[in-house]
Amino acid sequence: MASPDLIIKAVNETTNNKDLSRYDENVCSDIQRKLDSKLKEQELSIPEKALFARNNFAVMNKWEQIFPSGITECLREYFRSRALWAPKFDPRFPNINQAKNCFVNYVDYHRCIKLKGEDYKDCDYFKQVATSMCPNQWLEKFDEQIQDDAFPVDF
Amino acid sequence: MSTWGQLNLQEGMSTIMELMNYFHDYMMTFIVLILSFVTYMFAFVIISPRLDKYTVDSHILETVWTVIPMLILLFMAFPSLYLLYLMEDVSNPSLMVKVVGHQWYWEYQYSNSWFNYSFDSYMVYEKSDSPLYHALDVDNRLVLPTNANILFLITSADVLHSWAIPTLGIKADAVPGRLNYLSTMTPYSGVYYGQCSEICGSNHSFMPIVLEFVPMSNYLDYVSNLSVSE
Repeated sequence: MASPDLIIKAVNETTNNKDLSRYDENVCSDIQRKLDSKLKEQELSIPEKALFARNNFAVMNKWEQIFPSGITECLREYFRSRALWAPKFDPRFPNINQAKNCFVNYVDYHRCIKLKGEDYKDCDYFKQVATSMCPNQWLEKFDEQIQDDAFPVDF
Repeated sequence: MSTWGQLNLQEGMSTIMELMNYFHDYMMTFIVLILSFVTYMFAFVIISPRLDKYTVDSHILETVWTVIPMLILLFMAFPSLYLLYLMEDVSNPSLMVKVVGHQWYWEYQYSNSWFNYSFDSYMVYEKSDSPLYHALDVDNRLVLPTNANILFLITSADVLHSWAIPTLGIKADAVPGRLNYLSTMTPYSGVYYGQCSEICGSNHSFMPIVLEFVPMSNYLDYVSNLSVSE
């Protein structure tokens, strides 16, 4: 992914010779929306998107030399918020005990790959949620149960 | 962390804990005023020779001493309920950390989209002249970023434990089979201590918790190095 070109393109398409030395909320939200749409076109996976943001956040001093201060503030905020990914609040599980949330996403991942095949990209979302939420011991136990054909859910 | 002779709550490092400290101070004003007034009236009734022994009823007095406590209760209820609901407010987290309680250590698992790392955190047994805090310091601290909503998912691998950090105002039981969540955010870098808060055997007092909050750029560097070193 050619990240410098992507960012420069997004900024140029949005700014149109406005005063960029100060942080402007409207310009910033336009730039962020443009960057989001360009990244969506590239069809990156969740880890790849987070790594893209992380790598760009790490070289913010490079962007500070290229862009005016208003833009770099905006870019720093954008990359900082996306460098780490975590599943959003799931309203199906509003209570303190999230064990069911972990289990349901694990089951949904296996159902997805059974239905759509292992290479189907969108199944990755369920896998990411299950890996984030479920303790490693629980994941190992579930995998063992699947291998031994003892898992309580029939996919 | 707590220090010798500390009578008050620890300084609040998260928004919720700061609000709880303010609420505590606010309630303490009411409590001390009520206690002083009741003690004074009690002493007056016992000691004073000028008490009117022949008053049998007074509708005005009864109305006043019903309405005033009602107003006091209203002044106490509104901030209490406001804080209670604010504590339960949901937010989208930036980072999820799984905490697994064992006898007698904590295991932390970071599983983000691009890094996956787990480690155990044992209490450090040091001699009395060591610079480390007695029964509080650990070998591997849990490093976290500031200014990020962090969600902890707490469970146990054996018996009941409880994961608590007083300065952030968070505590949750580690129950085997359950995955309890806790959310916190702090803008302040620093090292925060906590201890296991549910009796779990002989070394229950010797499984402390240490969190180290660092700026996001430092945290991302730390995590990138973890992935490389694996």
